[in-house]
Amino acid sequence: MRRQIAILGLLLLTIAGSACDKSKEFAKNADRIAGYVATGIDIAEKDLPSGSNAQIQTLTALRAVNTINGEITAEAKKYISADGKRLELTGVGKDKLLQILASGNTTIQSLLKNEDFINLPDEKRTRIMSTINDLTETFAVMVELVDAVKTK
Amino acid sequence: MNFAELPATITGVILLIFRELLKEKERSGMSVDELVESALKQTTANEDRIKELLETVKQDMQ
Repeated sequence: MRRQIAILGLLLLTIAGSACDKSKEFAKNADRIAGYVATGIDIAEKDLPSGSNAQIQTLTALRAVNTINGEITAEAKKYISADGKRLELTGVGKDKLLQILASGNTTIQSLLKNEDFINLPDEKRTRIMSTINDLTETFAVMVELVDAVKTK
Repeated sequence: MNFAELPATITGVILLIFRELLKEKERSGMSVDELVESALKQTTANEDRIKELLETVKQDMQ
């Protein structure tokens, strides 16, 4: 359902073509990712055996995603317009954000391939997978949004 | 629907979805700079929690 919402969101943004809408979607996604990481931490803390490799690997990967999202958000903050309503990206800023996003995606994909994680019981893996899928889709949407934002 | 009879996993997922829907409603009313500040605040809180959890694990293993 999230994928459909994300795709629908993108289509609506393309039709509207408004700098404010794209900027707001980008900012919403940054906040969503921070929220998904918080959910992932909840799951890692409560559902995974304390001190297990799976818990440590999951927390380490979530930390990497969180750091990257922090970098994206801190970078984007530099380009907020005076009225707080849109991002006014420069070409350099756009490139920087796309680089950070690519790095974030790589980190998420590596968690999906991690054996300690793959070998978790289905029930535990399902909840984490749902969160990771949300993260993957949101990062993909953010790349599209950054690409679509007009530069100064 | 009697939530008490549902398996814990399904209940957990339903609660997560509700939580996300409420947050989405909140986000719609926020400006770009408010959303960015919210993201930064949550990111810092996440880092603190992860650090604490990993530290606890490290201490338990010693």
